[in-house]
Formats: sequence, C-alpha cells, structure tokens
Amino acid sequence: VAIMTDLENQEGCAQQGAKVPEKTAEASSAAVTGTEPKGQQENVPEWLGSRLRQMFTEVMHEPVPDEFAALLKQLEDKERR
Amino acid sequence: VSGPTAHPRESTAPPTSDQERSDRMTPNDGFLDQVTALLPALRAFGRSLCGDPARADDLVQDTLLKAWVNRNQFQQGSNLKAWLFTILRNQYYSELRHRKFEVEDPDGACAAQMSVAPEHDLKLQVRDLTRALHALPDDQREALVLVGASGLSYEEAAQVCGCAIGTIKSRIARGRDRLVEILGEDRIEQEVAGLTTG
Repeated sequence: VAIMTDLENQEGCAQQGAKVPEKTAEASSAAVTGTEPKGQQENVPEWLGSRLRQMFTEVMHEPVPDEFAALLKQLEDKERR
Repeated sequence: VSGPTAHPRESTAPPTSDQERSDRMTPNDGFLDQVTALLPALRAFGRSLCGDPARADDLVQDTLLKAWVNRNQFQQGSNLKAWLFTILRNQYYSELRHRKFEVEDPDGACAAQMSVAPEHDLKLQVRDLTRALHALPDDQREALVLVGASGLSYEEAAQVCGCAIGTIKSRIARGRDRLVEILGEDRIEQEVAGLTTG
C-alpha cells in the first residue's frame, strides 16, 4: 500500500506518518460542521485551514536540531557566571 | 536523543503557574524552558516565512539571542509565543530589506518554486500548498500562517504584525482567494468533495 516514489519521500518529509490519522480527523470534522452538497463552497476555507495546519505541524514534528539546545545552554551558563 | 522537550501541540500560551511567575529568584529558568517548548513552532513559523529550512533555523537562532538579551522586556503572563514570533518576524523583514539591496531573489528559490507546475499530480499535496503560499505577498502569507496554521488569535496575529485586527482579517481573505486561484478552484473542490463524502 505504502509505495512511495523517491521524490515523494524527499519532498514529503514527515507527511507519510501523519497522513492516515489526519485524513480521518479532517473527514470527521467536516462531518460535524455540516456536509450539505451545496455547502462545498463554504468548506473551502476549512479545507485550506486544515492543510495549512498540516503544513505547519509537519515542521513542528521534525526533531529540533541539537544546535538549539546547545545555544540555550550556552546562554544559561553565561548568565550563571 | 530525545524529541522536543515539551508537547509539540499547538498551545497558544505555555502554562505558567502563578508560583513560577512570582518566583523572582530564578526568573530565567522558566523563561528558557518556555522558549524551548516553543522551538518547534518558531521553526515552523520561520520556515513558512522564508521557505528555506536552513535560513529559517538561522532566523530562529537570531530570535533566541534577541529574546534572551531582551528577556526583561517580556511581561510574564503575556503570550510568549506571540512575543517570539514578533521578534522572528522583525528579524526576517530586516534581513529582507538588506538583501533587497543585493538581489531580489538571492537563491532563486521563489522563482524555482513558482516554475514547477503542479499539474503533474492531480491530488493536491502539502508541497503544492507550500509553493502557492510562497507566491503570495508577504503580508497575506504571514496572516494566513499565523492565524490559519500556528493557532494565534486574530488579535495576537495583529499584535505580531503590528497592524489592526481588521487588516489581518482582510489579508487572510485576500490570501485565501489568491491561494484558491493558484491551486485551482476545480482541484480544491474535488478535494473538498472527497473530504465530505469520506
């Protein structure tokens, strides 16, 4: 099922892992907010919002590089001296 | 090798107990912990502003240094996330102004992103959205990201951008329209329909 091209793996970053649960979350949130066929136009902002959040959280789920911890530690130590 | 120290979820304000706040003996310990907890959000915001991961992390580093130097100006109990976002944003625009003197698009990143037509893939991917987002004017992009993605309120976003709440709202509306235009109304409607029908 999860056959990915190299391109997708490179560009998709962490999106494989998050894909399945988010899809269901989106679907259920759409179900809650009303799914009249005529309401499709109104769902566009919601759809965009969920995609924007997905884009943002993908970066948030990346491990924070060690250099940040090192920098913060440095600042802390400087203060203590 | 552990992950981010604190919850990577979108919490608008890190919970700070009154005890911590009134503890004047070690005012900076709590500060650094809170900043650390917000690193993932800062990195995400930085990347959505400039599009380049390495440059975004440089922005975050500069933000940390500035935040540390000016930490006494931060009012405990107010929104640290919005405060840090403001510093990062100022840093980004001040660098941008300096770069403008050199070249318009130094890395050709913007041009490269826009030249890749998304038509090859009918299904809209996150990268399509990222690309489209970076084709927007800065003010529309940041408004969309701050409110739509990072979870700030309109008021907080207005504070970060130094403008009125109404301005944020209209930028979001215009940005949204433009995104729909770039991504293609048909494709989006297909996606939305896919969502609603399951």
